[in-house]
Amino acid sequence: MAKAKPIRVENLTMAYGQFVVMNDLDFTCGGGEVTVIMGGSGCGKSTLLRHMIGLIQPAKGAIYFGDTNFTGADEQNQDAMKQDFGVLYQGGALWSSMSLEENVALPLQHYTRLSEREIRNIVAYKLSLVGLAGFEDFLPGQISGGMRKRAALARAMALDPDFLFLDEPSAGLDPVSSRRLDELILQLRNTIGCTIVVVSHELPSIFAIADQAVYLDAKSRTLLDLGKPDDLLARSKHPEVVEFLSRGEKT
Amino acid sequence: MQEEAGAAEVVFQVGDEGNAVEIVLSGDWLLQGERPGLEEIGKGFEGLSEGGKVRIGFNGLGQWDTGLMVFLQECYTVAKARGLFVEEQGVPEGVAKLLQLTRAVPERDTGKKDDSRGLVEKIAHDAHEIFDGTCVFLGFTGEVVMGLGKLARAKKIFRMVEFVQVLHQCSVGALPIVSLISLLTGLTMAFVGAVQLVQFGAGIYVADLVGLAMVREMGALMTAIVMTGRTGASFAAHLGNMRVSEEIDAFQTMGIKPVDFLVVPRLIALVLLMPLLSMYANVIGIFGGYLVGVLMLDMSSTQYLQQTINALSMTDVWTGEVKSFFFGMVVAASGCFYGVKCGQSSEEVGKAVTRSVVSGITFIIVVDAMFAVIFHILGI
Repeated sequence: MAKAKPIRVENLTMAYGQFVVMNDLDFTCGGGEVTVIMGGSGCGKSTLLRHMIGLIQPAKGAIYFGDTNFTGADEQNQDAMKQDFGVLYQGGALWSSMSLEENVALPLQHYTRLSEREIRNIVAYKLSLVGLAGFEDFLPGQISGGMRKRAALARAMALDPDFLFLDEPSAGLDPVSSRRLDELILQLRNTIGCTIVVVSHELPSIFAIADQAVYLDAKSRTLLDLGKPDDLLARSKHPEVVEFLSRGEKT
Repeated sequence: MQEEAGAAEVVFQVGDEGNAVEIVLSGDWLLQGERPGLEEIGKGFEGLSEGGKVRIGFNGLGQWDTGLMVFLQECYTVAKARGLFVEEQGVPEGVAKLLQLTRAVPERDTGKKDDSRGLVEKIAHDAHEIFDGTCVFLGFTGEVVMGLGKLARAKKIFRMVEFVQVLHQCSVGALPIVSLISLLTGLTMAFVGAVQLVQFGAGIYVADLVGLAMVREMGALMTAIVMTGRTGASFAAHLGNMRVSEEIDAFQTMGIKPVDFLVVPRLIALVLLMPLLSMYANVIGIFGGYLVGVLMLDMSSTQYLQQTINALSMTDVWTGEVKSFFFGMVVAASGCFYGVKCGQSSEEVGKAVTRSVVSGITFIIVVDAMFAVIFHILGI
């Protein structure tokens, strides 16, 4: 297992035209750790994730994967770096015209020279990892929301990525499925050893999986605090962070 | 919330200390009932200068709902705009709590409310948008050309299964509607032509009229219009939905070009199939004319077909075919462009479909007119 690389977000300013979403974000997601980006609805968590995966260019600042400046790279190099990314979108974003097997197989077909048989075996393994063995021929429209998320996670892991980005993985799932997904994320961190960035505002998930939590504040439009969720709850100087982590019970 | 207490009423009283107004609200303040509006607030605040005070009080307030809250919000907005200070007295507990909620999160400056542009600014803004749109379309065209280049270098950029599905959708799937429209076009032209030509004893020339019109113009044109409404719109809706459900983003974050994977196969399929569909439409249209000629004008089958063959040359046939090749490009490009560049809501998908159909048909007519001029200059 190669040493997991960190992600460094350096003086990042995110904006839609004239509207600044977040100012001067500066933090590092530790290599091989789970970093949770948290904050109230509409504070810019998903927007930050979209910057990190190259869907939006920052207004200012840079994002480094290991020692490589991702946001400063040209399109070709960015595309090459994206081979090391696995992304789970909020709604799964499985390609609806393809079966689960085809969804997971596509990145393998696109980036490797593996034989069809080998690809089929890898797909079966990845789907079994997320508890979907036997569902290879199902279309995304034929399975439940939770299963779609798990299938999308299998697709995100298809190329054994160095960096895994999960956008609200447990949103819309029942508590049991949500807990299982959290366990799966921890298993991935421990076994594959990739750097995982999770966007979430689900407190049980945050406390269960985060090695580091980053709190984005919509009011001040910047990062207020970061650290382990338990430490933040106990010692953060910012009442907003404590209020968020205690579900409004402590201020 | 309380017992009924009569219609909503507001009394404005000039305050004791001057440059102040006391507003006393009473009665039922319901959304469905009669309520004082902005005009009354404006009148009530007349005479107050900047820095003046507005004191809001309640006396015998009956039932209330959002109607009261909206009135209070309007009072605050007008007061703020005039630089007045607002004080509240004896606010019922429920009202106070709701007011507190509305003030809990201060209004954020999203930069989206300033619509106070003058005419010149609006024209400049629209021109800028058109320029931006053109740049985006040129970028899209460049991506398509690069995708075709990769394909020419035998690089696999899309799945063959996907391509075959699109081929099927654009060919077999389109035959019934193309058949119907072409048949009716041929029939209509023959009817209209027959009415005029028979008066001069030239009914036989209905075959020439229908044959030439279908092959040179109507076959390709009608097929293109049908395909814009059917296949182009379907491309825009499908790709737009993929944008909304983040499927296109998923391609991008894997380093797979959505244009290569989704647009190129659709473009190739339509460019390949449009000339064939157009040829098919020509045959069906001529058959429509044949029905009128044989059944209405008492021409024999041989006579009609011979007259059609004599009227047509290979030049006529390929002029229609060349046009349909370009029409195929227009239909695929408009459908895919608006689909891939669609916004991320279901409303945007609807707009993308409308734009793809409108711009598709418009550009088909434009391209057709351009070919008419070119063929005229070339003497074809």
